[in-house]
Amino acid sequence: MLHIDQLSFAYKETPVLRDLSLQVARGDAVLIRGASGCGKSTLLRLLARLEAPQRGSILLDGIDVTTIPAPAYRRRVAYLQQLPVMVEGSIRDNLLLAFRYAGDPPPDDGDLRMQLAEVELQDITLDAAATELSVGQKQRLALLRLLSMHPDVLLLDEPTASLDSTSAAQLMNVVKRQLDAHALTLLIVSHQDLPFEERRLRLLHMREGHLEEHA
Amino acid sequence: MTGALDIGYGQLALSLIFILAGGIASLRLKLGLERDLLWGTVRTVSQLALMAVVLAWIFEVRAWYIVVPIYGLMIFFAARIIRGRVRTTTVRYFVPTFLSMLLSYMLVTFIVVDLIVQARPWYMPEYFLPLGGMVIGNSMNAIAIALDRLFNDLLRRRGEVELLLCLGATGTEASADMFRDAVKAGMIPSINAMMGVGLVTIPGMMTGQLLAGSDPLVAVKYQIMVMLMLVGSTAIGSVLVISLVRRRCFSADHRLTVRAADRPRKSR
Repeated sequence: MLHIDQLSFAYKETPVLRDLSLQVARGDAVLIRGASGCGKSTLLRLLARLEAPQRGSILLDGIDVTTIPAPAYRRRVAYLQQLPVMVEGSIRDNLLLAFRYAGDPPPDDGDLRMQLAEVELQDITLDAAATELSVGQKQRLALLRLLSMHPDVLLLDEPTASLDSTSAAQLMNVVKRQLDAHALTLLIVSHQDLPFEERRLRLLHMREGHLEEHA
Repeated sequence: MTGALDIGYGQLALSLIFILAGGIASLRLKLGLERDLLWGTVRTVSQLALMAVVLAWIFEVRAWYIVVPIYGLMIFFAARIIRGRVRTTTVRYFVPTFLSMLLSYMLVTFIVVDLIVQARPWYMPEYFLPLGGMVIGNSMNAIAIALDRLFNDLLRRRGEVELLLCLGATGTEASADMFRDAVKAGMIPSINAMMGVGLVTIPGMMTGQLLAGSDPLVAVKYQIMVMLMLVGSTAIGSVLVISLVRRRCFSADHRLTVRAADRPRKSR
């Protein structure tokens, strides 16, 4: 469903990705490992269309993604930023952001509380200031915000890099449950080990702008 | 009008003692400003002398096809000064800035000279150029502040803008806060100026009119008009410039394309 074809990207004349190709089937979970600065995050930013490649193409279900309006595309291919970003305001404000731009009717507080429970945040109130949460809580809230768009593809950029082991495990539990419940395609990039059942993941290595299948 | 007292060239030369004072301070305190002081003095004298010649000529010819292009040229120089002052980014903002300044300042100056002062003809250079010059001088600062704020905020709050983009916002929606803050930052100084005028400062235009022997009431009426005109021109100018430039900060597919440029920021 996701077909990356000979993608090249350079940042200020420094090549980051070189003719990178990758195919990910619907429901696949892919983990891309590699040293810091090897271009993993750039690949996800390209997939989220926050950057534009100099060469190559990305196809989603056989359609060149540049033909899909970017706002609609980004709701189908959801990108979790490396550091969770909360806007000024309450938890409720932050969760409702996911509904603001789609024209979907916003859920009521009861629904929102149920959703919070799904990401193990049942103990926080909707009126609490989002910016005062811990990084781990923010990360789960940011993930929940993406999931409420019901994306087809989920892109996680170093999701556990700034989390302690407990928070990392909580976050990956949420991801696992989503994977079981929905036909979600998952791409994770990380430079560290993830608390995740390895057998479910297709492991790739990025080196010098290329991807290598792990034996 | 009786006109202001003339200053003889010898008397004018006497005002160089102020530069001398600055020069002595610079030498004694090792500020290294002597060259700049000298260069600044030379530029002030020669630019204003040139202006006297040009103005005398314009006042004599009195044609709209001279007055309007000269005003356009003044706006062009203002746009160049802004380019030197605003934080450099990868966004090319000169052309939209110049065009929106041209449009909004022409409009405001026309309204002031033709509808309010009712000078005849509407391009009467004694009114059009000095009043227009005041519009440029004040609104130029507003636009520089607004642009600087816009670029700064888009760079600093990149994560927030990209978050909203990832939730399906368009570039316009994702930068709504930064747009508002930038326009507001541009407008606030001219509003603050309305608060302090007459209490803290005797504004330049009034000073000029009083020296030229105008009735203080007339001078005050002009000054009131000028203060209100400046609020209008900073508002229209900032909104127009920021609207046009903000569009250039995003690609057609709603990517935030503004980045800090490598070129170091010019001084001032």
